Amino acid sequence: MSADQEMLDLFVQESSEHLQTLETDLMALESNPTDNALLNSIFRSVHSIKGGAGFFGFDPIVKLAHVMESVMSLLRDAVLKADQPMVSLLISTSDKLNLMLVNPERAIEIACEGEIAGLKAILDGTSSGTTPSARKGGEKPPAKNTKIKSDSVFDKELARFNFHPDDLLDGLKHGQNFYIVQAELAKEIESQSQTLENFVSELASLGTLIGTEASLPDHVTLSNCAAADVSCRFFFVTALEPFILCGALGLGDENIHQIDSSKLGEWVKTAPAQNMAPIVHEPQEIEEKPPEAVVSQSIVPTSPTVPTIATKPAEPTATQIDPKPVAAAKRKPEETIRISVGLLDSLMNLAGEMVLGRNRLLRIAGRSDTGSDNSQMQSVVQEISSVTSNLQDTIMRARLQPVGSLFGKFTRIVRDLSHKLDKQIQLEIFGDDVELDRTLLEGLSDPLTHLVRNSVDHGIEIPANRIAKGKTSCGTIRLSAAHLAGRVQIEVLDDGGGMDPERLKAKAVEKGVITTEQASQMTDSDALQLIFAAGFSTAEAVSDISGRGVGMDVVKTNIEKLGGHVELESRLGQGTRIIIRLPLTLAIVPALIVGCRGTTYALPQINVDEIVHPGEEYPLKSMGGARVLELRGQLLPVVDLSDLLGHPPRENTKQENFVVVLRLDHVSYGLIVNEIISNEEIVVKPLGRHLRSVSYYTGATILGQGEIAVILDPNSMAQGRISASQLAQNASKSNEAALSESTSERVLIFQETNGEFLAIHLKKVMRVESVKASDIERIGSMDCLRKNHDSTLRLVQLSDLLPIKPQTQRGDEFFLIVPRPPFDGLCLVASRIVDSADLSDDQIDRATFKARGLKGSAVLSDRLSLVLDFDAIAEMLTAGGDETSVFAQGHFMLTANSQKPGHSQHHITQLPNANAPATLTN
Amino acid sequence: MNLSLAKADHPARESQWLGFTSCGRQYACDLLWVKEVLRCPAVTPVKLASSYIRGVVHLRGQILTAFDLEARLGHPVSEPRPASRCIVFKTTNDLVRLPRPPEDHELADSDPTGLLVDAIGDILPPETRVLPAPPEALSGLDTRFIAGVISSQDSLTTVLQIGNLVSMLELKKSPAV
Repeated sequence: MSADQEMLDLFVQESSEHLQTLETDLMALESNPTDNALLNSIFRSVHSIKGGAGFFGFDPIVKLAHVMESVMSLLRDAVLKADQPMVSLLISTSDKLNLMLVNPERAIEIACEGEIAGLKAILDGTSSGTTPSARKGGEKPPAKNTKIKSDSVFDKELARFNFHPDDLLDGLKHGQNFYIVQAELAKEIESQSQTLENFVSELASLGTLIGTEASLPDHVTLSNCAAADVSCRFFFVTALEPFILCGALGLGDENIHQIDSSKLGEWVKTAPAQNMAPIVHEPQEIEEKPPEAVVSQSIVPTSPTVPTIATKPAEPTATQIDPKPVAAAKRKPEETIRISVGLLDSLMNLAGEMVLGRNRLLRIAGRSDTGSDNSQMQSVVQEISSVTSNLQDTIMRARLQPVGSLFGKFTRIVRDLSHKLDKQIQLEIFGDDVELDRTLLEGLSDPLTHLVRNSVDHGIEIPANRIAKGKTSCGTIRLSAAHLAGRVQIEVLDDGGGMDPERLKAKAVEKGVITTEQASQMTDSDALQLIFAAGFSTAEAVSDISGRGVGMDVVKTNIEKLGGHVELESRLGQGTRIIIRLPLTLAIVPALIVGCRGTTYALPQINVDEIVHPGEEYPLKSMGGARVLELRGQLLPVVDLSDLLGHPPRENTKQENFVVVLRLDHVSYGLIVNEIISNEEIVVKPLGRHLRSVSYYTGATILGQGEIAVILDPNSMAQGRISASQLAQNASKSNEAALSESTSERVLIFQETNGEFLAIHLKKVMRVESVKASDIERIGSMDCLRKNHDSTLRLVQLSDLLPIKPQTQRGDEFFLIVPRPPFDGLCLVASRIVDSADLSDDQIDRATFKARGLKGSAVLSDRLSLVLDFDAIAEMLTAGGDETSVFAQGHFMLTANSQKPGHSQHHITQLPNANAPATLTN
Repeated sequence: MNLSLAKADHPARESQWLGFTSCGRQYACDLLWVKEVLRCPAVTPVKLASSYIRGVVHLRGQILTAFDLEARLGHPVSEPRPASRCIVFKTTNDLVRLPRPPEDHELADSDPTGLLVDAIGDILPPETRVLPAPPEALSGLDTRFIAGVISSQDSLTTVLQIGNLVSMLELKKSPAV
């Protein structure tokens, strides 16, 4: 790639980013037309585009950007006030700029006369209007109302500058305007959060800087110079008119003095020679750093904002600006550089490698036979260990980008769509600083666009209907992102019409997705899930129903491809809430590490349903050559991993096996493995092309000790081995099972202490672990269990949340009930796992024990048990957790904004705490 | 094939040859292709892969695909021997950075690949004379992976065509087992 092409690409890329900010800002301007920061930002964006385009000579872009810039400068100087049509015009101008930038060489082909004419009309309107001072065109008139210095003042003013006469003469030759720009460093430059360096470079971008000069007020001496403000003067030549200059620099009229160029010409000829730097002298480069700077810095080391005092000791008030050290010492706005993803990946690899090395080091350091200097070594190893973890974490974060970049575009989509549909919709965005992996953001773009469009199109009603329903005429769509238990939760919420479960069911029956019988048994929430069913998503099906449905199955598949999942809640007449939960990054997935004939393999945790130890309770049977597992009354097809991978059969068949139950979209099957090794977060690495052809493998990973485990693909393994008929049989069974589950569900009965029996629905539970009390680490008021190297489980004591007997003493060994994702960052503490039982909904007595987090009570296995409402418990932890929340990684947007006032209260205080335990103790 | 021969005979050739042995036979390959040599790599076998793939090796956070040279060349494979050396070839990314990449560099893989061999031998100077390989029809050898032969006093060294070796060429004929 040639250097020119590279620069051009960079220009296009940068300009696109500027345009993106521009668009966001313009949207914001619509609602907040006088916000100065916004206006400034818009101005800067347009200006940068214009500058870049000018450099490459893309005249059409420059022309359009210039008009836009002029209008913006008027807006910024409050000469004009932005109104709706004007903003629309500006937006369409930015669209045109966008189009032009797609192929800047052919920008001329993009018709933008309308925009230019519109903007020019605005400009003309102003110039003929109330503010003659902001006139455009006519070279001399503006000079009249700026203060022109008399000759003597001239001498005095210009004598201060040390400049190169060529610059001056050059400007004179081209008939440019000369100015002296005066600015107080602290007041006018830094207050705009600019650095002097930026200011100077901005000046330089507008014209030619001939000379600079700075002075401290007369009363300032070395002792108090730190507090004093510095006045900077810039002798400056440019083609720009004064008012544009004012706008561009963000300075008032009084700061800019135009110098009459005709008089200047005479003055140059007669000027005292000492002002002119001799030709041999280096040009007065602004970056030039006089050697004295070092000395003078040591004089005033406390104040980085005071410019260093340069050479002339006889003239202590006149100091020379040396912008470089000043700028360097100051905090600059956040800087970014572009890095290729490949480079980041290799950094990531190297960091991973260091982690492995560290692990080995830790093991060696932990040995007692390494000699007398063991303790010294240990401390070094500890240090390296923490640095390594930090390093890995930091590099991981470098791959993340704020979701704001994705959310931003929805402002536009919602605005345009709502205008088109004659709806009034307000888009609220929360948590746009939440960060996500780049690849995830890209993958999220389409599904999210789909959801937002759906909300606008079908969710929000037209104003008349809204008012008829007693709502405000303006609908609200809320887009929010938040960190939740190590994942990112993205929510699309609207206060529109919601969905009608009955109509969904009717439609589903009509489409043949479910049978009438199934429909009658379906709960409302199950019915809502129907819209995710494939085959449910045809256009007619949607427009009849109150909304949604177009390609919702595609949305679901896309999100699941990213390792996330979608949930949907809807209340008829009140709105719909769609929740997307995603892992922070794609590169790391939770996996179950299993062993088969001495080789380790990884199975994606997302597909693992449960692990069964076949035996008397769950017998493995053969059915006409196919093996099946009898699991709670169902027959599950089973595949032996060693057969699948062609491991030679072993003599010793007595070896204990496990069946990992894998769940795919509509099917489950069992996979026989020899060993369950661990549960780990693995980093997915690609396999070479020679191995990619093996469809059972999706990649490989490197485990803690440096050994490789191949990642298995549950999908293609099923395709290879399980016959279609078996799958079909299985599918129908699991459907039936799912239906029967909706009436009667399996619950796990456990005790937190020796007190009450508690029951939790098994479908909420991922696994039960037994732990030793010594493994628990206490951080603040939280008990945590550290897993592997980087994931932590937070222990939840139900007695803290529910009116049950508090736990006094924990045994040496107890159980942890780990819920399914997304709540797999926490776990419930149980001292004893009692039993499991079937529980149907109507068995639950909802009257006797009422508390948040409880569904009610039921008699299970002849004992009275409290049935937990896990969703409510999770919500209590989220809402009431405050700063000690599980979701310590980020802020939970909704709570932070008090969007759910009812939920933010801590519920324990509302419960009749004092007498409840007494009643419940048996 | 002819292209590479022409190149091998080219007087202006600059790169050296790396000699190595496998199963008692001597081989050589273009040193430009070689990134490094691993000692006693831990090879994790991968089931269901092609016969010429011995497994994968953990190479600094990346997964290297390790080839069995003998199987790749279609020689009868005895019992898998413990690998004593692994010649790691450059990936696409490594090769594009070379000022003068080898001619067959386009065939390189984007993920690391390596060749398991018994021992590393001498480095042969660029001017070593490389003879064209005997025609396939006469020798019965699969010559797609062979760039030529270096003849010395007491032995013949097969010069390998690494580009073809690491690429996904389908076997033209069944390997001579």
